[in-house]
Amino acid sequence: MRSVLFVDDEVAVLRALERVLRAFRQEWRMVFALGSSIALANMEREQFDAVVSDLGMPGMDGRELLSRARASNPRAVCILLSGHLAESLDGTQTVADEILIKPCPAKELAACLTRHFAKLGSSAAVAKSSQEDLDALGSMTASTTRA
Amino acid sequence: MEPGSDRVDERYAHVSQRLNGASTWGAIGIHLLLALSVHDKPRSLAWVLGSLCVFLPINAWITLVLLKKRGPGTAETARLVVNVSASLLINSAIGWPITVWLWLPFVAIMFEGWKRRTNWVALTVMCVTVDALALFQHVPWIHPLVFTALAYFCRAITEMRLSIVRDMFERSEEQRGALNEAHESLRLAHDRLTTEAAARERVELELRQAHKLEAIGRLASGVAHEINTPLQFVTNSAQFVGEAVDDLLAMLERTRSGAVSKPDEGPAPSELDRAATETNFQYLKTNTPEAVRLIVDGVGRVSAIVASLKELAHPSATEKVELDLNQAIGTALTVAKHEYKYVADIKTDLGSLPPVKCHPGEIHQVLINLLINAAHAITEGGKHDQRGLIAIRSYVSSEEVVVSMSDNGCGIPVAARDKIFEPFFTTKEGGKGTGQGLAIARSIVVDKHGGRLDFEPRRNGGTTFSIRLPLSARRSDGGKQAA
Repeated sequence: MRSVLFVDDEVAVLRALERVLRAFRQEWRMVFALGSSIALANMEREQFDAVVSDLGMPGMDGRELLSRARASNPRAVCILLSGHLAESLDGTQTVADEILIKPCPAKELAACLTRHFAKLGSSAAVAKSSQEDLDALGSMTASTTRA
Repeated sequence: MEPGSDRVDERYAHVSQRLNGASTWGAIGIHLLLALSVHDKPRSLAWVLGSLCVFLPINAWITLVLLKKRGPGTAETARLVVNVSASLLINSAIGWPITVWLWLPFVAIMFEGWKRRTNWVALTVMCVTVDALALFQHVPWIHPLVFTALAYFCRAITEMRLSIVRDMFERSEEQRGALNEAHESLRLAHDRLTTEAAARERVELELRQAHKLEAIGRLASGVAHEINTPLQFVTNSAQFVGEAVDDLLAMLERTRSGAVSKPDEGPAPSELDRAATETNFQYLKTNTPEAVRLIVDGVGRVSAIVASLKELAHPSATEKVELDLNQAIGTALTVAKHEYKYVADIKTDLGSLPPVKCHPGEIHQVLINLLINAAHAITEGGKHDQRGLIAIRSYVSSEEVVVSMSDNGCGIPVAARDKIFEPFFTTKEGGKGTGQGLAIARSIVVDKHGGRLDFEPRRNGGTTFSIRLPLSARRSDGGKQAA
């Protein structure tokens, strides 16, 4: 099971993500951290396969948080989820594997995570897990379309 | 100096001409004295009056015609010859009365020109000739001696006087030249200043526009972020609510079909399925309303920002309109939120204020500018783990509305305190500020609104800026005129 850490300084953003990504709770272990200091505490306790972080936060910003995550786990998928306009995100490409702009639909975020997890996976277990991810995504997309 | 020296000659010639009148009257006076001294001798009297009639016109002709035609050299020679021969002739005829010696100093004074060696030669020739003839005719030696000495003395004094007059003329000409030069350079300087002032005004206007655009760009990026964040959880929550409604409807459908028990519904749900459905229902029961609340909150936040932007977008009308400054502070806090929210908390203490006549767009600009500066000062003050505080107060104080904004940031260095309102002055690193913000803020508050923009350092570090706007329109207009 992949573990994903979501970091944002807005509790509403985290709560909404938690709910909308509930369909993935069988595939990913999702941890939600309010602000970078809580995120750092979580990162000290365990290694995450992916970190999805906001950019602007009080104290340490997303850029530095992601580079810390990368330092502690070089294989970690680092995703920046920011409401900034694209031009103010210059220089973040080096720390983030992917930059997503708010408002970002859950579909897009999930697809992005799934894609990167698939890229990561070379062992059978990982491949299997990715396949599950894709299935989950497929069912979710279907449900969204139906809605 | 050439034109100046010409002018000196001209003025000198003018003075000489006026002296010529004096010389005529002098000549007449001496003749009358002569006549008086020989009035008891009819023959001598006739000589004197005859000489007056003959030599006075000749002298007048020399002065008026010959001098102008031939210059002072010829004129003086002619005068010398005429007067010496006349005096020799008459004195011999009337027997050298003492009055006659007055001629010597008189002629010595009246020589035309100045610093001319020929004058001295002429004087010497005259004295020697007259004295020699007098001594030859047994005049007591003391008379020629005294009057010759007097003649030289008079000539020397005259030379000195003329020299002084001429010096004065020269000096006054120099001063006139200097004055003209000074006047000309003043005029040039004035022209240059006028041109420069116009150019400067134009550049300042352009800079102000550039700064405004830069500020708008900066704010736009922050505002976009502030709008995109609620949109993020609104989007996610809306999707969640949509799925939840689908799930709930499905559950409801199953319940209804269970009651009706349609045959094509398939096998009855197992115990396990029912438990899962129950868990799911409980989850949806608590989370759906919360998600809806998030949507409402998020949309409210976006609406508030858009409403503030509308406030800001007041067209910069030429006429002032009434503005509630407390509302303006609220607008500034909303629009510039992105600039301070990561580094500082806001504490407001807003008193009840009467509306103030002002240009709302510009006052908003000043408030936002000060807010951004306060946030920068706190960032510079840089305790990374500790949030700063921006305290905003508003109150009425003796015919003024005051808005003060205090931060506990890095403060303004002592050396910079005199200059912070100057255009282009900045303590920020390159790229972080153009140094226009406070200059423009001051121009808006002071020049356009007749108010004041002051700052004072706080004891515990940080700075308090105060905007004071006059309540009465009259004073505000006065300020405008003064600017």
